[in-house]
Amino acid sequence: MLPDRLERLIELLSRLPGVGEKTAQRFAMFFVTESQEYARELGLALQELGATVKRCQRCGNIAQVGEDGRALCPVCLDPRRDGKLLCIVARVQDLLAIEKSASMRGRYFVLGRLLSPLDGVGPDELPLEDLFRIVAEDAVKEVILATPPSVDGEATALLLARELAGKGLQVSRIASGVPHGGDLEFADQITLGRAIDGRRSMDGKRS
Amino acid sequence: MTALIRFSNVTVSAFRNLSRIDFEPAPGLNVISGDNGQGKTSLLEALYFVAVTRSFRADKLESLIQQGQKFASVRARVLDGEHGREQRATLGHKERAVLLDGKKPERLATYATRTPAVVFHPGDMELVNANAAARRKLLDRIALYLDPSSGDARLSYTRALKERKVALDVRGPSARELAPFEQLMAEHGVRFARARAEAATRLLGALAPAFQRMAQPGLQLVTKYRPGGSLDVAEFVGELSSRRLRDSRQRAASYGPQRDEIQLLIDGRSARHHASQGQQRILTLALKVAELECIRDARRAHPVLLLDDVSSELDPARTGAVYDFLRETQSQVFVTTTRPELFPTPGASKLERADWQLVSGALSEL
Ligand SMILES: Nc1ncnc2c1ncn2[C@@H]1O[C@H](COP(=O)(O)OP(=O)(O)OP(=O)(O)O)[C@@H](O)[C@H]1O
Ligand SMILES: [Mg+2]
Ligand SMILES: [Zn+2]
Repeated sequence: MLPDRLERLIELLSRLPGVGEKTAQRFAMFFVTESQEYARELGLALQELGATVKRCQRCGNIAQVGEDGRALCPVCLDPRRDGKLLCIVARVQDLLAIEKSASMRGRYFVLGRLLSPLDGVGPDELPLEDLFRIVAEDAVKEVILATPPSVDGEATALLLARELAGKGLQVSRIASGVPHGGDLEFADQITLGRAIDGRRSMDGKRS
Repeated sequence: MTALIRFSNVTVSAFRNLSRIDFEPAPGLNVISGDNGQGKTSLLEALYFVAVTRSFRADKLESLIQQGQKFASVRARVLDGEHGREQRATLGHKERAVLLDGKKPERLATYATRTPAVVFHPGDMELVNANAAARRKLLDRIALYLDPSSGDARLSYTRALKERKVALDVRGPSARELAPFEQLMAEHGVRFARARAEAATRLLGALAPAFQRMAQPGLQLVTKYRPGGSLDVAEFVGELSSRRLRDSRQRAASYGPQRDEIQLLIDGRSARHHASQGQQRILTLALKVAELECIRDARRAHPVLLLDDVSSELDPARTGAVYDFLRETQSQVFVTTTRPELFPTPGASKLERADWQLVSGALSEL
């Protein structure tokens, strides 16, 4: 019933997180009936996005592409950050939540996924080589594992702890206190700060 | 002090064949009679639903909604010791909503553990005549009252168990992701096995006297709880890692609380395979009485007891024993039957007993 182009737009919009079929349809109708100007601007912004904003090539955070064409995030560019301390998180949102709590003086590495054979993610699907490269390049001494306290988050932390402790690094896990099975994102800043300050050493095993 | 829990002022709407029921149950025993298919089980189901937001017989909650209607809903005033509250549970085709005193509770679980209810229905016979899965579920229900965090531990354990299985299936016994998941199985498994073991001790402790008072005199009941794993993390991890090859061949974990078993023997023989139907039914009822007592002691409140069609297959003496128990219990009881004449309670007051009749989904007091 709807023109093909519009159907296509609705399909694209409904892929956005938190947007269902109905909302996507409402958005699409809005573009058609209300504001051509807004639609043009949004289209342009989306088009430029790919060229100007990328994942940080070092840590995976969101980064603005510099004049030299390199994508490095503000944390990686900040010379006051302690490069010997590395915090490993699952997602960019977790990194942002920890940054907000202002309790991290080192740098980050975003895994992008968690160990989960059920979801088809084994050790080989984790970006371990990138991680080891950064650990070597920055001569990292201490690693904080800040994956979420879910089963997959804990398993990822255990796996990384084993692999990193083998390289002579000091490895610790954020203290539990973030909601169980929950997202770091939703933990409040004080709780997150405490979780990082109260981290426990992890020697590849657990007490 | 053990609080008395009572439903009063119950309204059921568009729930199975019950279009609309308003009733004021007795604080004691409520006998609900009616012919087949009139809505007796549905009424118990409605009471169970407003207490715990689940059904004891439907896999798909949607089937509770009256055909052609959008929402089923049950509202009840619940007296809990000194306190009273208003509970309301509504079920739509896509969602479930609950209100506690008119407010949305923080979590569904806060609502669902508030009003303890114990139910017996014919499907519960699987506690005795089927494999151990149903008995483990019974233990988990009790464990949740003993240690509310045991539910989360069980879910985490199950997740880790599945992750290990897929890792074994796909990458074999030397996969390096096995160790982390085995460690987590052990940590969560121990936490939840501990709650289960405590539940088993209490349940079996209460089962023996309950069986004795209801069963034929002279029957010998022997029960045994056999844990499938360990309560020691290191031992648990060791067992798992030494069983990888075997588990990968069998495509199932041979160690852990998913293999917990409760054995029930009557006169030295397995109740599942050798007991008569009436004996199985009495044993199931005794398990329910034991569940009631365990939850009562853990929750310090007398759970509401819902009994569906208890008397079929029981001889008059067994029926009498069951009713002796119902007369003595401090729980509020709802019992359904097609033959109300089986349950005389001479001299009972209006508070102690009310009789109801269901005809085509309409309830009237007798
Ligand atoms: N979603 C529904 N909408 C309308 N009617 C339903 C629905 N689900 C079940 N029924 C009907 O409700 C009636 C009452 O069922 P219920 O199981 O409560 O009867 P009962 O009184 O317990 O009977 P019995 O003595 O045979 O156990 C049945 O006729 C059944 O077909
Ligand atoms: Mg019935
Ligand atoms: Zn970066």
